[in-house]
Amino acid sequence: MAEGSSDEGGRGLSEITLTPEEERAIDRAARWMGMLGRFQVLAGGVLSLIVGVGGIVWAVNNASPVEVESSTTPPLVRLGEVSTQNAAIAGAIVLAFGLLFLRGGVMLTDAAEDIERHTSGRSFEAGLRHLAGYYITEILLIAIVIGLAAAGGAIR
Amino acid sequence: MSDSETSETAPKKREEETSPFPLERGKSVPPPRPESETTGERTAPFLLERDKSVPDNPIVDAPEPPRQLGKSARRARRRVAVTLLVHTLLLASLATISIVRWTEGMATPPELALAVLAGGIALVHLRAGFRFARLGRKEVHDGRLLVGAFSDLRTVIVLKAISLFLALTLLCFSLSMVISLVVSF
Repeated sequence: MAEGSSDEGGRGLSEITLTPEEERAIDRAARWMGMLGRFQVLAGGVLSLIVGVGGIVWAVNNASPVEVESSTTPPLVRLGEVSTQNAAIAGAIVLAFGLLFLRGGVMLTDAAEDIERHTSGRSFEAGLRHLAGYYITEILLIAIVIGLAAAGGAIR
Repeated sequence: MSDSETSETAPKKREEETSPFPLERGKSVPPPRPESETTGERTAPFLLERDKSVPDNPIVDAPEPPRQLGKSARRARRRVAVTLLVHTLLLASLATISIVRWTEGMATPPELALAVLAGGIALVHLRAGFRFARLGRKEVHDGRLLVGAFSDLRTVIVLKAISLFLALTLLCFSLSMVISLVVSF
């Protein structure tokens, strides 16, 4: 029986009567959810991997000091130069973005697998829980974007 | 009775006892009992006269009342509705920031396009959130509400999948360009 289908005498979401057309519509939505979830896992994984590998390479290169101090006066403005702290912050933000994206993809895939029809039925309750988890990761991602936009506006 | 008679009739009797058909056995079939004897005594009082001292069976007679959603179903539904509404608010604020920047002349056309897309997604999410929130109030419409909410989510997911595909393609293209430039220099 589906999880939480009959607690306290109440009916579960899986007990809602659906016509075959409605069943097919929900199955289609679940398949799209599964596809986007897997796609998101791939994108988040690749992004995290690139940032992680780039960070390690950058840290290894910076570990050996090869800078030669010049006797001339340093320039007033340095174009294109990024401080270590800024680079670390940017890398951390992108890494967090990638990992959240990955986590969201996993949640969405789980939701799709719960909502899709199986021989043992489907569990809307578990699917909706995973869907809520996915939207929580989305909320965090949008919060990061809004924070970056606000920071960009404040810097300008 | 002589011994020869008994020896002839004994197998006949045995045959009559074992035969399933009484007519073959040569026995007379008893005439059917009159209807007043068979059904009149047993069924007529049941059919015509109901014993009023026995209370009606509530399971059989009463119509089944509409059952409310269970606790976990209600919680799951509320959680999705709340997260969808919060998501909508954040997307709407993102779109507002971009439009304000556009009016100040600080935003680029792609940023404006992104703002419009975010606004559209926010509206569809809002509709899906309201549908999930209304689920379980009226049992008759539950199927339609559930399907409507999932159709809204599917619309958003298709849009996201297309934009993610485009973004990934652009990212891969720009990365390959950068790598080829670095290698050539």
